[in-house]
Amino acid sequence: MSLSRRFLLRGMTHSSLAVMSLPFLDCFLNENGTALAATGKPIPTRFGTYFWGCGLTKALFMPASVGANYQDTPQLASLKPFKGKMNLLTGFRAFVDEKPNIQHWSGNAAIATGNAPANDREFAGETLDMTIAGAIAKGSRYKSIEVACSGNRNESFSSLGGRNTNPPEVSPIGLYNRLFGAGFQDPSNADWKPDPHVMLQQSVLSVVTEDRQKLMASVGAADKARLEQYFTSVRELEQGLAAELSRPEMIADVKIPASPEEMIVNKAVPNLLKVTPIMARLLAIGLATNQTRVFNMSFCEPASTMYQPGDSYPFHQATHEEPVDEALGYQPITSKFSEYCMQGLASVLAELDGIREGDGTLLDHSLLLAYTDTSNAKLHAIDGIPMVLAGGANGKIKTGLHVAGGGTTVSRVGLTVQQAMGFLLDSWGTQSNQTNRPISEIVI
Amino acid sequence: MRIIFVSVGLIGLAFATTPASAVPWVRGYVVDAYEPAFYFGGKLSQDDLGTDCPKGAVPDNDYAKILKTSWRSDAEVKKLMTPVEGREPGGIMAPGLSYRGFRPDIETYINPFAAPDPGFQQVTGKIAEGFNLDNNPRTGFSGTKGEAGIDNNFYRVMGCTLTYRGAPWKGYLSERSTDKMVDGHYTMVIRVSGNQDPMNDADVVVEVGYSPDQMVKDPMGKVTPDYSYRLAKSAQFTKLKARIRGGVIETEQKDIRMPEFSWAESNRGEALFQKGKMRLTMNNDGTLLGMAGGYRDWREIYGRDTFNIPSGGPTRETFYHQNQIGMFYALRRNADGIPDATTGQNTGISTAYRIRALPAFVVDPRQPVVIDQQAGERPYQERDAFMRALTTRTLQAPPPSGSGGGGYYRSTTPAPAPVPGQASKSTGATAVR
Repeated sequence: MSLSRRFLLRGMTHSSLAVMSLPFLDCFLNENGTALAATGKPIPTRFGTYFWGCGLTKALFMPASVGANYQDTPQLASLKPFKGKMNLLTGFRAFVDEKPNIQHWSGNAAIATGNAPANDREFAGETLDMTIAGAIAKGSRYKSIEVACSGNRNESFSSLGGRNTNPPEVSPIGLYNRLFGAGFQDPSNADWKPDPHVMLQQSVLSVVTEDRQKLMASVGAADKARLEQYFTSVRELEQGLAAELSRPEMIADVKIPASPEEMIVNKAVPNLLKVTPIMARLLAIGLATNQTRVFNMSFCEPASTMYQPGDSYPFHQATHEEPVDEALGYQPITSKFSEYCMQGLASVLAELDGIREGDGTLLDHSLLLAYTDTSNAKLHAIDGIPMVLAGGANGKIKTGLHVAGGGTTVSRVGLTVQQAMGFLLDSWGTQSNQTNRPISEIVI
Repeated sequence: MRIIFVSVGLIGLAFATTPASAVPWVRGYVVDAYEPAFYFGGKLSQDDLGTDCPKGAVPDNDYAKILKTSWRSDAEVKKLMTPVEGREPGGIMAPGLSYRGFRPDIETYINPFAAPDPGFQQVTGKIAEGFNLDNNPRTGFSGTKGEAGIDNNFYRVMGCTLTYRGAPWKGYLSERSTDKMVDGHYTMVIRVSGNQDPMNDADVVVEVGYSPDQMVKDPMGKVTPDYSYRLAKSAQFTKLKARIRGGVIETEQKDIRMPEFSWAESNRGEALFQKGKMRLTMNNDGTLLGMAGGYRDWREIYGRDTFNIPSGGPTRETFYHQNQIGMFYALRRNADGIPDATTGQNTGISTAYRIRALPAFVVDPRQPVVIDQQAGERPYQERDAFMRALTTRTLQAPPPSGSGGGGYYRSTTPAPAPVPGQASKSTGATAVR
C-alpha cells in the first residue's frame, strides 16, 4: 500500500463518504527520516534570528577554553540543555572602517548585513534573514515573520535595506492571528481546500500583469527602480497567495493551539519572560506547519530599556550608570539583565527542540542566529560581540563548540550561515567586513 | 690600583663622547590609551571614598530640586519625574532639564548662565598629576612625587564625577574612549627624533598628530606594535622642541594642537593645549608613557561634554550624575589661565592627559592627508549657539528640532510657552537681562 502524508482513510457510512487524516508517520519520510518519501524533497531548513540588546558580561559568559566541552558559565546556564545543539561564537569583530562607530547600532547592523552602517538606525543593505527568505520562502505562506517580545512596534531588525524594517508582531494574540487566524487552514485538516478569497486575490493580481509590463516600459530609470521594488513586493504577495492555494507541506506532529489569552506585553522583565516562550511556541508551530520558514525575534532592543519593576535602572541605563564592582569584576545589576536575555533565547530553543520532525527536531532542521549590538555595553564595544548559532541546519552545521573568532570579521558568521542554508556563496560583506572565510570549525 | 682606576675613568669619558651617539635617530609610536590625568585617591572602585574625593563620586542629582524653577510648579516637576514604561529618565526629563532658567523659554544648556549656580562637588585632595604651567610653585596641587605647583584645575572640577573618576586607565570615559579609539574612531601618533643618544639628547623634536590609518589589533583585541602609520600634518599636528634625560622627554612650552580625548563622533576633533607641555618616558620595553597638558578653553570642554551624540546634557545629568549647569559655573570659576584680552577673564583651564603608546613606524604621507571633522549636525550648532551666547551676552535659541541623532536626549519638544508679559525669543537672540 502506498502511503503519502496526504493519504486519507476513506469509507462509506450512512451513505456518506467519511475521511480521516493520519497522524504524521515515519513512513511518510525516507528511510533516514531526512526527506519526504512521497516527493523525495528534503525536510526544509528553517532560519531564524534572535536579537537581544546590550551584549553579555564577559566575566560571566566567556568560557576559558574553545572547542568542544567548553566550560559552563553562569550567564549561559539557561542554555546548558542545548549546549550540544548550539555553537558559542566569540571574538569576532565588526569593522567600521571610515564610518562612524554608531553606538548600539554599528555592531548588530554589521552582523546582519556584512556592512557597517553609515547612519543610525539604517541598514547598509538587505539583512541576512531577507536574503535567506528570498531563497527559501517559496511554498510557505509568509516570507518571514517578525516578532517583538517587548511589544515595541519599532523593534525589528529585518530589513530590505535603509531605514525600512519589516513590522513585527507585538503580542501573542497578534502573532497567533497572523499565523493561525483568518486565512489559515490547518494543513492536517481532511477537508482542506483553497480559500476562494485567496483565489480571487490571485486572479486580480494576474490580470494586471500585462499593464504592469506596459507601465515599466514607459517610465524613467528612477521610477523604474521604484516600481521594481514595489512589484517585487507584489510578486512576493503572489507567491504567498499561491502557497495558500495548495496544502502546506506539514511534516511535524503538531497541533494548532488555541488562541493565547490577552496579556500585558511590555519591557518589564517578568512580562518579557512570560511572553517570549509563548511567542516562541507559536513561531515554532508556524515553522512546523510551513506558514513561514524564516523568523526574526527581538527579545529587547539595542540600548534596551527592559526593566525590573520597582528598580530604578532600566537595562541600558544600568550599563552606564552602575559602577563595576571591582571585587566581583563586573556590574551586578547589568549582568542580571543579560541573564534574562539568555533565558529568552533558551525558551526559543526549547520550543524548536520540542517539536519532533522525522529523524530529529525542528531545531535540528533549523539554523538560528542569536546576536546582539555590543560586547561590553558600558563601553559600546563592538569587538567580540557574542553570538550563538543554534541548530544543525539539517546536518550542515556541527554543534557543541565554542569558536573564538580571533578578531576576524563578524561577516564570517553571516557567510557561514548562508552557506549552511545552501547558498553558493564564496564571499560576503564589504570593506574590512568582506570575507571569504566561513567558520570552518562548524561547517560540515 | 690607582693606575687602573684612572684608566677606567678615561674609558668612561671616552664612551660619553663617542661619535656614535651623534647619529640621527627616530622613534615612532601609536597611542593605544589616552585619558585625562586624574589622580585617583580611592582604592579600587570609581565610587570609593578617597583622599581625592572624601565623599566619593558625585551622587545622582536631586531632580526635584534642579527641575524646580520660579515658573515651574511642583506638579509639573512631579510629572517630569514620573517614570514612563520603556523610557529612560533622561528621555523623560530632557524637556525639563533643558529649560530651567529664570524664564521658561530659555534653553539652559545653551544659556547656562540663565540658571543659578547649583554648586559642584569638586576634588578637595591636595595631590594631582600634570605640569607647573604657570611656572609658579605656589599655585596648584602637589605632584605625586612631591613636586610643587602642579596646575590641573580641570581635574579639580571633574575629578569626582562618576565618568571621569577611577584608577589609571579604569575610569569609565577613559575605557570607553580608548575602546573607540583603538577600534577605529581615530588614531594618534607620536614621532620623536634626535641627533645624539636616544636616551640623552638635548636636540630632540617631538611631533604629535592624527594618522588616517586605523590601528591594527591582534586576535586578543590588543593593538599590535610595529605597524606603519602616516602622520597627518593637518591642523591637529604639532612639532615641539624637546630634550631627553635618562629616557624622559621634556618638550618646550608651546601651544599644542593634537587629537581630542573623544568617545563619540561628535566630540572628536582638535584639542588645543595653550602653553602646552609634554613629558614622555621611553620605557625599556619599547613603549612610551607620559602626559600632555596645557590650558584648554573651558568653554570648549563644557561644549563637547554637553553637546554630543549620543550622550548630551540630559544623558550626562541622568546617567552620569553630572549637573551641567554646575559644571559650567565650576569650569568658569576654576579657569586659571589665558585671560581674555578685553575682559581679563580667564578662558583657559589647566589640564593634563595621560598618554600610553606602542612602538610603530610613523611615516610622512606621500600626499597630504586631511582628517575629516564633522560639522553642521546638531551638537555643533548647539556649541556654536552656546559660544555666541557667552561671547555676545545674548540668549540664544536652540537649533531646530530634529537635527539630533538616535538616542540623543535633547529638548525636541517646543520650548514652553513664555510667561505672559515677557518677550518671546523663539527666533534669534534676546539680550540677557
